[in-house]
Amino acid sequence: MSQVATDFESKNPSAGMRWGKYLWDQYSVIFAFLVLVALAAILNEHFLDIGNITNVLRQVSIVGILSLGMTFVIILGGIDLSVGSVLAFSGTVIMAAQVTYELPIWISIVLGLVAGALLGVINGLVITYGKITAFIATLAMMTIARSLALYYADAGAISGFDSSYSKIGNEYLAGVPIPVIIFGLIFLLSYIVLEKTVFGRHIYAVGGNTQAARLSAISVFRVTIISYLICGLTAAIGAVIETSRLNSISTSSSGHMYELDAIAAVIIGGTSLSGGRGRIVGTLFGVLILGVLSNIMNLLNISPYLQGVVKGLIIIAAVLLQKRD
Amino acid sequence: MLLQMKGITKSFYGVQVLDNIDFELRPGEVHALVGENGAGKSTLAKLISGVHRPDDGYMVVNGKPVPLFSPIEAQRMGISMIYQESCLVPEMSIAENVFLGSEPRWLGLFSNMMKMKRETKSILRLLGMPLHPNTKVKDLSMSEHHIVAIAKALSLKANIFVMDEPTASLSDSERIRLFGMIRRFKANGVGIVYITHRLNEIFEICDRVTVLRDGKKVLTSNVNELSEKELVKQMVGRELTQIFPPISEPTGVELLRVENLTRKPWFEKIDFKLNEGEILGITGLMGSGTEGLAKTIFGEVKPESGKVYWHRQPIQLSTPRQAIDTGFGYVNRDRIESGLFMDMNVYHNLTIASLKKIHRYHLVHEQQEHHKALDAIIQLDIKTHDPEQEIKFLSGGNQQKVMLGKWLVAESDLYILDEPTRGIDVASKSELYVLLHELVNEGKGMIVISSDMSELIGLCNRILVMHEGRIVNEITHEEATQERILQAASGIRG
Repeated sequence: MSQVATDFESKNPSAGMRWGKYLWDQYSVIFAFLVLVALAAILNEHFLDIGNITNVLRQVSIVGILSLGMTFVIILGGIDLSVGSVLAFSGTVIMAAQVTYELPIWISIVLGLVAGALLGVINGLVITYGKITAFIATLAMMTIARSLALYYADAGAISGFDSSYSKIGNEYLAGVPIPVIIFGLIFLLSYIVLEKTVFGRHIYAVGGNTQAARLSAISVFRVTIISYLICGLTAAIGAVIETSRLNSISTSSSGHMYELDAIAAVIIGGTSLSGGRGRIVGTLFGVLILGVLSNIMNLLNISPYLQGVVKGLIIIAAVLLQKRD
Repeated sequence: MLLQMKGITKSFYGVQVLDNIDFELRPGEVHALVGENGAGKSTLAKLISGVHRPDDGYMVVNGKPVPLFSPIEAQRMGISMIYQESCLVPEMSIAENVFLGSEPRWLGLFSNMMKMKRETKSILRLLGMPLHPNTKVKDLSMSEHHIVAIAKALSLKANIFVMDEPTASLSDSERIRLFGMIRRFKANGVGIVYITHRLNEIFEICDRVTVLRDGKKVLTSNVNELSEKELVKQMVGRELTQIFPPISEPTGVELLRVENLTRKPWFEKIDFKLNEGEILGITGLMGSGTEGLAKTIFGEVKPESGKVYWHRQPIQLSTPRQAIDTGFGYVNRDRIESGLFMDMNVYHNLTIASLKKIHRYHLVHEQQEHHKALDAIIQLDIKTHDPEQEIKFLSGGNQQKVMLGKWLVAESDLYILDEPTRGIDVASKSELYVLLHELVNEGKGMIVISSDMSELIGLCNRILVMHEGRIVNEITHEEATQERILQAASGIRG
């Protein structure tokens, strides 16, 4: 920091108070998470067991990865309702490549990722060229991608035979489940892209004020396409984990309603649905809050049918907490 | 007494904006509220209209004390506010906007469209703006927007009006009509709080003036007991000797040439030349095409025909990006809609158009970014206690400076400034003029579009006057007078 910047701060009598306020603004979701963890630890002695914690992390990793991609498009001022269906579509591509065409595993994974990215790009093209709002464009993609998967497998499942594929979803590396490691890596990557790169800054700019972004030499078209590509890609990565866990894809139920969980996590994380404002760190903790919540309710034997009520209330509470304008 | 405020104190995020302010408004008076950018004028206005609540102090409205206050209650108590930035619903018609929240009803249920349209029409006619009440607001230009916002405020049966820079985007004739309405209100015992940066308006229409400086009240006085010089001194806290720096000779090296540029119905057959080191003024009444011309040169809209030359080379400008890459910078007149990123901090707003130059492997070089942004903050004297603060917490004038600062950081060679001093106080204006001259002396070119005659006369080497889409006159600095410009702008041949 230069001399001037320190002058700004020393002039202000209540810098400490503002710092506290800043922390709260930026990271209230982390405080909320810590409170929830403490509460969970008090309510159930097994909550903090390593086994249970690992379990929670593994359970959230797929929706977590989807939420990271979702954060990009929501900060951009859009939304992607198709991620759950794109997951099913990519999963179908992967399993079909392995089972029907007997391709090597790594090629099937590449094909799955390309399929997810491609559907994301199509979303972006429909939104930019077609000038159709993201909600409608991705709603259409949601039904199209799901329908294609259902048609291919007659609404059934495709199961693989190569057991080495299921290692990705089920094995550990240094005591940590591989899906959790993938989630962690993608989080780090997303953090760097959104917070540190020029492209990340451009996403915030387009989401904050599209017209001003255009007048600041930003290619709104390119930023939009790439953001939806990233979102589709994260759905495909989710598909890799999902298919490998069971060595199978269910075209009717895989990825079902994942888009709503992802959107919920992003919102709980403090990202504004109107675009231009939000933090990927918030999304990480939004994901963890949802995971811990459903875990503790399971431990306490609360009916799964009732858990949606709690989730809904948490979403409302999170948004109320973060309102500050 | 219509309004009485005592000991009003207000802080935002730990920064004191108003400190122990006393203010009062008598029936039938226009009370000017003046001060530099960030002095607290707009905040005080928002307290009066219930948008913000004071931390300390009390208010008495029409003899009734008001402890807590919301915009709706303020309206109910007879307070109506014209905001600096209009807040209208673009998808609704003018009439619907004017009566939004106060729709006349039939049987308390159905809105009375006929009455709404009739009254809207008559208010608009009084303001000299014969627009159809059914026109959607999104189809209006900036200044028409503003007129509708004024009409909306005037339609309320209020006896206290708060006007924040009401003439900022009005042409002269509209301004005269607005003043006519203000005089009529005065005669009916209505009180008006009038915020402005245009000092001549204070002497034209106001009875008393209160000067704020850094959140504190400096004085309240009758306008006729004060000279303009004295008033400026009170606002700035020191004597301001000279507003415009001397005009320097341009180099004679051609920077930009526009030939036969046409974009109907905005403008046609525009020819002009801009040399390095020259400030070219462009002016015209509303609808004369100045704003469209600026947008076209910047590549925001494509021309139908015509050529643009940059350093004598023909260039194609079809996107703002190409214009920026060429070295153009554009400060448009609408900072909320298409100028700033309200949720971004001051640093990020300043560097958003220059990130190409300050990254390594696509990672933003933060140290360099802050360095460049701070240079602009110092050069433009942008008042912010923390550049990491979101720009929405800055005052309007400082936001305006950030818009210009963006192009300083980008090191643009041509500055297209559309109403660059809108909402900026006298002292900042002077500083800005000095800065513009410094840029020009470095060989940059500048196109200043303005409706402020004295600004054009004091600042520009040449002034192009537009009328109905064509350049009707070119006036050099030496021969420029308000009358000549106005005559040309109204289409009178001289």
